[in-house]
Amino acid sequence: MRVWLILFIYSFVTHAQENPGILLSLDNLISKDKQKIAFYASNSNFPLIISEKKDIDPKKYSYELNLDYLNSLFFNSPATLNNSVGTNICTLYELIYLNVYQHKSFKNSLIANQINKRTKQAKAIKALKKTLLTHLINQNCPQSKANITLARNNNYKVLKNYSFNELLQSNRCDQKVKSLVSSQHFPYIAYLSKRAKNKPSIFKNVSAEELNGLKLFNQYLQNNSRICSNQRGENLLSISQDELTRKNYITPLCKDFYKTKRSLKSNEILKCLNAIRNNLDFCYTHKARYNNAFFPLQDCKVIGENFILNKYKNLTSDCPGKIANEGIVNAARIISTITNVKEKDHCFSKKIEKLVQFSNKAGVEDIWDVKLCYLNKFYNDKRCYKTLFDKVDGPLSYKTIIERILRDSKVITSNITCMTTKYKVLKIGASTSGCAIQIDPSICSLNSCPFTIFIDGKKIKHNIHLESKIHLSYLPKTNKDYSNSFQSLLKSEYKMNSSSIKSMTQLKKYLKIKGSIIHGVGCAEELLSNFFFKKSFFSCRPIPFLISGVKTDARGYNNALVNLSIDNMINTRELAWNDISSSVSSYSKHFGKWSLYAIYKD
Amino acid sequence: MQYIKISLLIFTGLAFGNTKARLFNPKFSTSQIRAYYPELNINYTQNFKGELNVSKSNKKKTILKNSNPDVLYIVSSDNDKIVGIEKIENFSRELNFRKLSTLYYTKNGDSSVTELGKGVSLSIHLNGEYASFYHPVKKEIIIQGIKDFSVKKIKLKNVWNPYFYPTIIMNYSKDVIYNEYADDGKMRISKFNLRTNKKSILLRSKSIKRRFDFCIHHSNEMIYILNSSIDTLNSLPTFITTINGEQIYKTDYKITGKLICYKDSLFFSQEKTKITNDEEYKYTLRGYEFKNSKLLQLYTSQYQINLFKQGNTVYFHNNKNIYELYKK
Repeated sequence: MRVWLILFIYSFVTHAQENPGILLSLDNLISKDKQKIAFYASNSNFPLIISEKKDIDPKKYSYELNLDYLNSLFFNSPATLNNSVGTNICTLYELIYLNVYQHKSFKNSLIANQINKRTKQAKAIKALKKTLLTHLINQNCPQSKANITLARNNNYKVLKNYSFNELLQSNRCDQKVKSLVSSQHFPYIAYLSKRAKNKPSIFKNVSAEELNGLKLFNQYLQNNSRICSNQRGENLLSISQDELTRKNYITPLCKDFYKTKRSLKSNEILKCLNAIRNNLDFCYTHKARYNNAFFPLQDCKVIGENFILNKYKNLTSDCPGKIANEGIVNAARIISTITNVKEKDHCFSKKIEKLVQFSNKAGVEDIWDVKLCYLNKFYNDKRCYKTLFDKVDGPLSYKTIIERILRDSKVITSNITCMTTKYKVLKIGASTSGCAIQIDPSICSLNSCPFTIFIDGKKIKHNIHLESKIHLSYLPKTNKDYSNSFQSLLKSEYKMNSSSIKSMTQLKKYLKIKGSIIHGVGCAEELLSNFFFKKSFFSCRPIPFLISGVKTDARGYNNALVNLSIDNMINTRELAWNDISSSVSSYSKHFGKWSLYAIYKD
Repeated sequence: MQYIKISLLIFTGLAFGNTKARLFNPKFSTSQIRAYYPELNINYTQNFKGELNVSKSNKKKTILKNSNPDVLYIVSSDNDKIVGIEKIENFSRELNFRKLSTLYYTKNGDSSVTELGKGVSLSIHLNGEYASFYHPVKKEIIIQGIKDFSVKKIKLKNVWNPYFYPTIIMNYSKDVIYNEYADDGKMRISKFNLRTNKKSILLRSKSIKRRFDFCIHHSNEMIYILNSSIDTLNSLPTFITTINGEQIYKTDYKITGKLICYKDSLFFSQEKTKITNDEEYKYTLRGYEFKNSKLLQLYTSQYQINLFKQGNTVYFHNNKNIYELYKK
């Protein structure tokens, strides 16, 4: 069979990756391959010969796949898929028939050799893929018909024999995946896995866990990505053994996964952890929609492990994206750590309240100068009310202040409260009685938070607008602003000391002090170099951050655990000390002083 | 297939490449420098008072006077004729990632500036014909004609990342090419044509855990795309391709920072996420030369290599220093 020759060439290519000496001729081979394929692909130069069954003449000719076509197919396909074919030509026919193998230049056609049985002369021809492969399968691979029929009938029952959820978690997952690849149903499973990725909606009676397993299998075939849970290191179960982590991270995560507020039983948590493990995107998107925080997040395993090691215990999804001032975000997180504020996932409500209380006590009342203002037509003057800008129904919440203004303006009476809805949820003109306030969460932040008011289902005009000014000098730059900076206020109000940190040794020393907090400001371009780029000689977007622990990597090297003020507090990152010191040093060039400190009580 | 090609290039490139990195060491303090054009004998510095000065043929003039300690960045057009200035007011007092800078442009070496507007991430395109910037609160890309004063706004939906700034490039067909988030949070590259006002999508990411960066070679108007993994758990391949899908490079390492198109080359910084011995470097600066298909290893470090292009030179920040690339 010609497939032996193909596999020989393929193994030659794989070997050549390690041996540059033979690659020059391979380079020529590749460019010739491109020329050949361009020729075959052109319908004017190379027309379709076999489109229907009647075009096949089995008495006069035998048929086989053309070597140039197969060469090109193998060259342009992932190695895992190529290896899965082994020496079985029937598997190859099935994979091409089911479009698991797809040559980018030949979508519905292929190139074959038409061999004259009498003269043994072979001629390359173009054929309709399914027509010729049906013939070849009928002639040579009767057992392959089963997979083709399953695919034709959209039959997913075979999946029941291959529980991906169990297979991927099995200790013998590696061997099981290998035996799946060499099994009779492999081409069909590979076909389903490709469909699971491209058209998941068609898998109506397949559970989410199985569907995710199929998607993982497709990734494995396409990218050789790790598929087994033990390889992926995503065993969330080990994290869930830590009681605090289970209560404060795993349980809320699972409630969000199931979109429920009720308490979950142990077996439900277990099921959820298994499901999350196979859900490729859940953790990267968790609570990020509506511009709540930096996106994407990290893997649940990473977040969960860092949760355990984090020395601060106020780790929630606190939506820093809503507070358009990262100095305020870090300051509020520090105050809530010192005062031990216990808060569920409410976007900053209590943390801001505590920060405002702290600043009032320290005699710096205008740290938080955030107001809702309106033009009072009766008195013809502008009136403003302070708001804590949270979504909870507190006395200074955004909604409560809007209600107050509406009452002042006699739009509503004193006994009416308003409901809040997400933008476009409420249909205009609907028979909704009372007062409703619509806010678009994806554009609402301290920078701007427009809203629409409906009274008895009718949109009303208003002139209420947000005015926000933050007067916070985070770190003291000069002696003049020393006494008013947040760092100085912290020291004086809580009788704390501060020391600058310039090495990993110093960092570890201060992290060990009970109640200590490590905070600083660095440039985003070094802290998140995959997302923020330097554009000139002097380029820095400052981000305040907290350092919450140290994590040792596989080599025994220490990395710092960091809570960036643009991330949800729960999303602790692991960063190399070199990157942190570069970011602080880079910011210090602009700022004029070192900007990483420990604050602590003696 | 191209992977194999590149493996060859790694082996040959190290031996024959003539692009080198050296410490950038101008005659004046690098902490004051904002832009440097030695071939035009022009440089821009910001003094301790915050004033921006331009020196042309050794004659110094003040461009912007500042009463506050604002921070100034300078970017320039590919032909160095027009420079853009981004002024960040209250730099260290107001730590607001989405704060709007005041943006200006001027002819390189002139002492008078014209205000462009408010926004962030200023770039100058097509030899100074257009400026682009981003309004992070309104989530709008603004394209402003420097010669014809035209203004075009492209609204991004982005419900995912409030801290996202798009990469924006332009070609001579007046296409604005930028990245944005699709509704499902996956990144995509889109195109908006200024002549037809038509928008189209050029490339969609297959996963949330991938990012795109890109640059353009104006000699042949070819766009090169970095499609890098940002998976925090698994090592997945990273690709550099042309916009037509032709693969230039594939690696199992992450590529951090920007992809830089410069003359006949591409430059990028590669990160080894798992280092197995102490002598291995974490970051490697690589250059790919199109003419002779060489892949060069230009610099290695345990510290990040943050590339940028200014004037006729590619520079990079590395461990408190700035380096420049030059041809030997």
